[in-house]
Amino acid sequence: MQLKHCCSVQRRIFVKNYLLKGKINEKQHRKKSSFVSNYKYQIKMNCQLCREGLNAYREGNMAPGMKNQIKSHLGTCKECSEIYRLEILTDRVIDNEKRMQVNPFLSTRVMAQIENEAAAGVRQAPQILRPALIALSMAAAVFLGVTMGNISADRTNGKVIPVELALIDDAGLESLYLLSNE
Amino acid sequence: MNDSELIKLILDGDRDRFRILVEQYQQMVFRTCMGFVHNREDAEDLAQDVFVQAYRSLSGFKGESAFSTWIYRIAVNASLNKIRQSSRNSVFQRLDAFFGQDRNKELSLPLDSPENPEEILIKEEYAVWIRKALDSLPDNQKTAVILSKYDDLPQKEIAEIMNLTEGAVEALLQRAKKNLREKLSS
Repeated sequence: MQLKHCCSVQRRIFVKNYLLKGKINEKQHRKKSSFVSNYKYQIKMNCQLCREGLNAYREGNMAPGMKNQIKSHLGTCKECSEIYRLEILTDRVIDNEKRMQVNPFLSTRVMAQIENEAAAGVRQAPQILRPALIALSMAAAVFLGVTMGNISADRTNGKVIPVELALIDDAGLESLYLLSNE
Repeated sequence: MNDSELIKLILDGDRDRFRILVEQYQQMVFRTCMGFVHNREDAEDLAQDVFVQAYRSLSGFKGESAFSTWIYRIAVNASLNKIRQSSRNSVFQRLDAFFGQDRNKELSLPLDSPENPEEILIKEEYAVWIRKALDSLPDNQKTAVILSKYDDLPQKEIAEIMNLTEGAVEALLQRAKKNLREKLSS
């Protein structure tokens, strides 16, 4: 297994030890293909490393050495084993919901709703026209009434004022109050 | 016949062809909706609404992305809207739960396992608790988790659906995983 196939936990551990202990023995590398299983390093499994590696551990995408370390840590650490258990349970809940099959008549229901909406759309046209016509008629009636009222008002207000009355100067007229108090 | 040709025929007036699209994508849409609502009836109603909405907006589908990406977007938006609506009606949900008509309480673990009823009940309580933890995630994290875990989509496709970069999707998934761990272990 090449380094690129290792999970991130393994890569981090490898890089850390590579930097600390110098280059890998090329002969050892040529003999066997795996970096991780043949390179001797001391790591101390802790909760953080364990939790980071849990996904890869569950998927089986892990070197045997690391896998065994995580397995033994899970056997001793209550918190990590509880987290692992809950993650498995979460996957199970999701898998059960994923496996549910849709109702085979869903397409029929969809097409029925689309057909109903299309039919309702056609029927809506006369229903819109009727209120529009009623509103138009009412507006026309109001307009007609106002027009007729204006015409009759013009007739009553059309009297000719005599010239004598039109030439009266209001300012020159004496006040009735003065006349009555004489 | 591919999706683009089907859509062209539907837009030209052959409405019945839409049934082919529905049958092709119904399981996928149902699974996505199931991830949000965790209830078969609600998921089916949602899926129906998604397809009807897709039909109404079909003329707006430009073909720049895959039809599946487009319909995933509609499904996610419809599901999130449904959840927001449900949270407003939570008083009625609490009444339903009180009178024992809680539709969300679906037994999600297989009944054919050789366990006693008490163990099944304990596991069902865990299932409810896990679903609540999933539902309590922020919308974008929840969407990323559902598209990844329920629909098994690669990060590239999730990024296209959510209109994000792949790095952003990876970050969302990591944060969601961390939040879920914290909620479940609390």
